[in-house]
Amino acid sequence: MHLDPEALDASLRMLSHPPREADLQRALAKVVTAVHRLFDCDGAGLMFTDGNGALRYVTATDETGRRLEVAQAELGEGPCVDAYVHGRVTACPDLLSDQRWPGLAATLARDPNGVRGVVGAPVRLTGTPVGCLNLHSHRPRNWDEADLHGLPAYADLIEETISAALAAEHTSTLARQLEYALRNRVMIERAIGFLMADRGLDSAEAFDQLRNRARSSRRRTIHVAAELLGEELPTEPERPPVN
Amino acid sequence: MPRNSTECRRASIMDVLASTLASTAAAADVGGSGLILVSDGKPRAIGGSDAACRALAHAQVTIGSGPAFRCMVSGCPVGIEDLLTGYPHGHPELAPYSGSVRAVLSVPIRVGRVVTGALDLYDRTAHDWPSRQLAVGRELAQVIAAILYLLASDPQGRSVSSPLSGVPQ
Repeated sequence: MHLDPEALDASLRMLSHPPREADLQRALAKVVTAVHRLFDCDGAGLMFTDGNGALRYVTATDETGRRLEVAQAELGEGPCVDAYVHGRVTACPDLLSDQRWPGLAATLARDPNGVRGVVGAPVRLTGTPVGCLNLHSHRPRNWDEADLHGLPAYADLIEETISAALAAEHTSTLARQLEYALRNRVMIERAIGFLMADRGLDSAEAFDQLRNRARSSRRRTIHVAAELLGEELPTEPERPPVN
Repeated sequence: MPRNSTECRRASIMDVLASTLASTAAAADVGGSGLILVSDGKPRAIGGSDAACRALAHAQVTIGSGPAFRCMVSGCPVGIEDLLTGYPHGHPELAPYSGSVRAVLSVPIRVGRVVTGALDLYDRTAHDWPSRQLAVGRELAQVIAAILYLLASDPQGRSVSSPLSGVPQ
């Protein structure tokens, strides 16, 4: 490591302050805004997994991006969901003609000013996918190599931002929720590994099987994963006192 | 090996900052990055994404000269095409410490409105810094400022007793 700990300590002491609820959200929004400004796109957004292993809207630079993320969260399908589930960059030139996500295409077709082109990069924490950073355009768009290779570096900066909050023992609700979601996702990943070994499935098929089993039994994916592994559920975070 | 919770916290913070500098260089598509911060009115070399970047940050602080200093004093980005050439396109006084680094872009880091340091982006080939890379540097400096601010969160509720000193003029 090429850092001077004493110099860093002295500098952080100068910036020392009590943690505030909005600090992490604001820092994440900085990265998303940077992505929007630097990439040739109409907007950018960020989704994180909840404790159930499903993606949820966190922030977007515009209303159409917010609607795209909410639609994917409700339907459980779309390029951001795939980027998160499969842990790889997922690009879509035109959502309306893409056969991979018919439900999303049908929803977006009702919105004449909606999103058409999307590319999503998985956000990881300690190697485990926990979310998706995305770019979108209002017109069909063939994403180029600069977009596909550049976006993951900014997804890494999202990881550093979350890691900074966790390293500083930040007490915000979002930091605690992300820590909890990460513990759940690790358990879900282990259940996926179990299904892959036991049933000869690939990781996407195993995750789909977990999610389908949860839907059909009206339970959460994490409950199915815990049952499969014969383990207790991770403890849910307590709500921190309001600052 | 960290021994107590304070040392564990410190080690975690160091890990985060080390990987942040590496990610910053990747996001800027440059060869490396370095960080200089001001505390108690003094610039301090925090380090870099690799040994050469760290050495150059240290050299600037030791000599008291370099693009990071010009950037912190002016509050504006400073792009150096080739360290080895004469001023203002280079900084020949840093040549003995530049290692493989040739081109440098220094961007001010602001917390609030105060310049609290400089982010250096380094490349191993000489080149100018087009407006696109200046824009990338500015955005990344804001991200670094936000990450530093998070790292400086004190769960014990302690806050700094004196205002930020910023850069001595």
